[in-house]
Amino acid sequence: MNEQQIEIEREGARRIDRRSFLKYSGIAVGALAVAEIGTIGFRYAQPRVAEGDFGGVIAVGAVDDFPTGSITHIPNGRFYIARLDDGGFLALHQRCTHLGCTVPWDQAAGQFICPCHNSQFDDTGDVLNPPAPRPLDLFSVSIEGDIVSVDTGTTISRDDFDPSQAVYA
Amino acid sequence: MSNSVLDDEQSGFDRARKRLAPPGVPSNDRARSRLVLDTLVLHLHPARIPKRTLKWTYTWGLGGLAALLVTLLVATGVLLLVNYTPTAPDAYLSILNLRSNIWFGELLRNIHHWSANLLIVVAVLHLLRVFFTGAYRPPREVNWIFGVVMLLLILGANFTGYLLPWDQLAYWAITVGTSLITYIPLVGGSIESLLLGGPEVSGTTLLHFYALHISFIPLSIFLLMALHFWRVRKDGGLTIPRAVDEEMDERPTRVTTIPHLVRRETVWALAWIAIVVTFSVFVPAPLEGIADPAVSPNPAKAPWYFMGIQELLVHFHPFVAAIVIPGLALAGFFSLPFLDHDALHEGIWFRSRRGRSLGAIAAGLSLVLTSAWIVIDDRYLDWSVWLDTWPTVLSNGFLPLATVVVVLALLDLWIEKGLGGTLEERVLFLFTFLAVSLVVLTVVGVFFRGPGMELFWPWSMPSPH
Amino acid sequence: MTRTRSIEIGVGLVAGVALTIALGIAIVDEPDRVVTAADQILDEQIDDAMNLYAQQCSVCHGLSGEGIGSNPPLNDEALRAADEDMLSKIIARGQPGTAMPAWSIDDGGPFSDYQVSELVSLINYGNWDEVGDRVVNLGLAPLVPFSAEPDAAIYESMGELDGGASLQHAVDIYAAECVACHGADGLGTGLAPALNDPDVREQTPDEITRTIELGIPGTLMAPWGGRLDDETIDDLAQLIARWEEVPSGAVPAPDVPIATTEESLALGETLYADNCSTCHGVEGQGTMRIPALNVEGFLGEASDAAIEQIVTLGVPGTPMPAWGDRMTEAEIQSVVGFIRSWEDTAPAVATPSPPSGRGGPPWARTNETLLTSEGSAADWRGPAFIMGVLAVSITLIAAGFRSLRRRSRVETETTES
Repeated sequence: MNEQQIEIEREGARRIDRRSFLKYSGIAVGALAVAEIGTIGFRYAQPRVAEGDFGGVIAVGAVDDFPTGSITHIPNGRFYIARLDDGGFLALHQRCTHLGCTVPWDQAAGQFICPCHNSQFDDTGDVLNPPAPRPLDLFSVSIEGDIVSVDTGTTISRDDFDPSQAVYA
Repeated sequence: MSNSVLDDEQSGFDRARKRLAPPGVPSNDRARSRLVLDTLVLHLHPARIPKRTLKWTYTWGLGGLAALLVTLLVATGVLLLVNYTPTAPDAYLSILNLRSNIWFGELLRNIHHWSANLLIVVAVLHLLRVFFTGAYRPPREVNWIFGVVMLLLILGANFTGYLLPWDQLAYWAITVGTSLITYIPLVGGSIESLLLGGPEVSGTTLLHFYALHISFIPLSIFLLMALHFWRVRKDGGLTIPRAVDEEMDERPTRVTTIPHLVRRETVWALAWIAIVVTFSVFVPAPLEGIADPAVSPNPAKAPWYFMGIQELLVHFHPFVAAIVIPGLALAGFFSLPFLDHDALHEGIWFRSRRGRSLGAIAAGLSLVLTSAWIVIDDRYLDWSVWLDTWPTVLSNGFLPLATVVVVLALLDLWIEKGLGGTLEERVLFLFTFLAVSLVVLTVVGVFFRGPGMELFWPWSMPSPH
Repeated sequence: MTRTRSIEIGVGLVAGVALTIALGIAIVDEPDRVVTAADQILDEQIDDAMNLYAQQCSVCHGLSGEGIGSNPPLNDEALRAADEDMLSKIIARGQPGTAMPAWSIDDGGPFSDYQVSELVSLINYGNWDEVGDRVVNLGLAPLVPFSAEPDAAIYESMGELDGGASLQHAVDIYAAECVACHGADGLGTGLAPALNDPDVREQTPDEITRTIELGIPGTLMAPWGGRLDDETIDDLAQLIARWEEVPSGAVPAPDVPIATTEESLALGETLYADNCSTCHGVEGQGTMRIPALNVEGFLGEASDAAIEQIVTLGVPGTPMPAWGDRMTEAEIQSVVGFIRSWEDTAPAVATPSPPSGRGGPPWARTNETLLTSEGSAADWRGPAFIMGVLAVSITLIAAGFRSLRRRSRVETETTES
């Protein structure tokens, strides 16, 4: 192996190095571009929710607007405000946990009765009568000063009613 | 039993996989090319192409760029459909929503807008390239016609898309643009009301334009693109570039399409995607106030690509400016390959040394004559007042047109007799002259016309508000 | 070939990097951009709404939304928090039982749904000081205040008419409640028809009473039955039926100063300099035969309304032309406002000066179209542009001819040899 050959081989090794460097940087740039385009596409499809609409935070009124032991429907928020007898607040999603029908409050019976498959729920949203598999879902309630606000961004599903779910002024 | 079914499935899957992505990449071009002979790319391109057609300054990749822009437009257009309501005035609200409430809605709109405008420029440049290299003559005359029809469809796609934001710009550009149609004799009015769906631009027009914009026009463009690509192969691929005095090479050196052409196309596409996207990130597409039929802006301008015609309207009776001249131009485009059909000099930019000289003279003459004529006609010529007993379609239409035609005919005579021009050279001279005229007219219309379609310097243009 | 390959790969990499950077900037910037765009859209809507307010709403709701008489104020903090739906319904459909008519096109009004939503944005987020300035700049400031002062002498004399006490009572009420729309002496304004009119007097008292009580739906005429007692309405009906007996000037038009803003004063100053200063002097001191304006006597005597009328209609038989067909109402009002601004410093005696030479006929003013701009402002750009175009064309033509001639010479030489 004379010097010339060594030089050629070195040259080859350098070229390969450069080539693989180009290759990997190309792959990196391509992957980054794909990730960015993916992000843009994904975000484009994602809803942006304005305050006060379903999906955002909705201020429903003052604490005293809701008498204890009452159920109030908030149609544009898709939920009921249940003020329990002890003054606790629950925000119950109006959607039946069985197959998604809207559940009306039956004041005479003191129950939510689903028109689709006759699931029944009590005023805390707990299941009285199947086929609903679990109580009505909750939205988180917050009370600042005197104003009751409900975050409709995420539903909270639960297995049972528990007094700790209620929020107090 | 179950095993054999599985085997079949595997082999079927393997077959498909081999077709799409052959395993391993051989080291030499020939083997590589053979491996991918069945691949998608080679349904578009031949396996081997003359090496010289790769020459970068010959095609400038304009046809491929146009196809790329169509792809970008389809991709962004489909996404925009999701957030667009084609009714008035909700269309405008959906654009506002896209701007302020949808993540990257503005970016997608910008890419769609700028790609569409760039597509017109690229398509026109592509047409000029094909003309000046003589690549439209038999056997390519059918493909030239497909190309011209596609250019018209692209203009149609742009024009229908222009209305969709339903802002003042859109409303009045479409009102002005569609009013030109009424000057077609006999049927103009009916065509206009058919297009508009009523006597004026309204919610129905929006729906009509929307339907044309998202279905009829794109489908026609796809069909013609397929035919156009197919004809390129059938007609023997691209014309082969050569130097001015070089003889045509009957057996040109060929290279494999993969990787030589494909790599170049990929890089060119990537570069232009980067340019369009970067531009769109920083420059928003224009949007004015909501369309208001009660208030016309002054001046109400058509979209920029029709400003050449609107500039003609300042000088000619509308029948001549909007119907006769564009009609003659279109007829000229369609008959070019039949008029100038000798395949001599194909593949040479501007045909020959003489062609280059004549082209330069035509461009220079057109630049100065057209500009001078615009100012003189605007300031001093007042045909309809001088000949007030004549109908204006004659006094302000065909008479000035005739003087223009006489000037052109004299120029042609001079080229033929004075400079001994051949048919090819006369066509080249006139085409160059008229192409530069159109550019001058468009530039004047876009940048020099202010309120009342008066001439202003662009830097002292009164603001419209 | 390897060189082209390297170049191509290099270009591809650069393009890819540029693309990722541009997209990266877009992604990082997007949360801010969305917020900025929303603010910008809101600003544009409020800007539009201010024009609509000036044109349609300011007559009743006041210069800057402060409300006039029984028409409620809009510059109210409580309204800022008001529900958008409620506000847009009130604007679109009107408020039954009040002077608020329906404004939506669907209900016979002039506003599209989009314009109604713009007005709601104005009420929720607008700046009412800016609204006042806008109204003044557009020359749409409500000139008639909601109430006027009855002329004392005529008021006294009316007591002697038959049933004079009722008429006096009616004039009191008219001056307080009705004059804003129906005008001085019941002669009508742009808002409402004249009541001091033979056609109206032909109606029976019952008809007139019913109109006052129930209003005319779809117009600014509100039902007054709830706010005025039956006796007052009867008195008003009597006044309308017997208006010809009441001497004119009983309810005079009040002298309302023209409202100004910095912008309108600046406009007035420019317009004055361009159009008036040649004759009336640069500082209103007058010239030889033309009267001074900047002098105590003139400014003390002439009301804004009087000056406006003189400017609009001119003074026949004198060099003073009618400017009404050359300037808009807003422009004339801005000039009047500018002239009025001299009042505090006006000298008792003016010192006229010779004509200044500014202003003059329209074609001599700086109306910069393509050709006129060359002479007026020593602007190098126009000639430079023309020279540029000429240079390019001449270069092209010359280059073309030179290569043509060189070619033909070569050809001749070859044929000769």
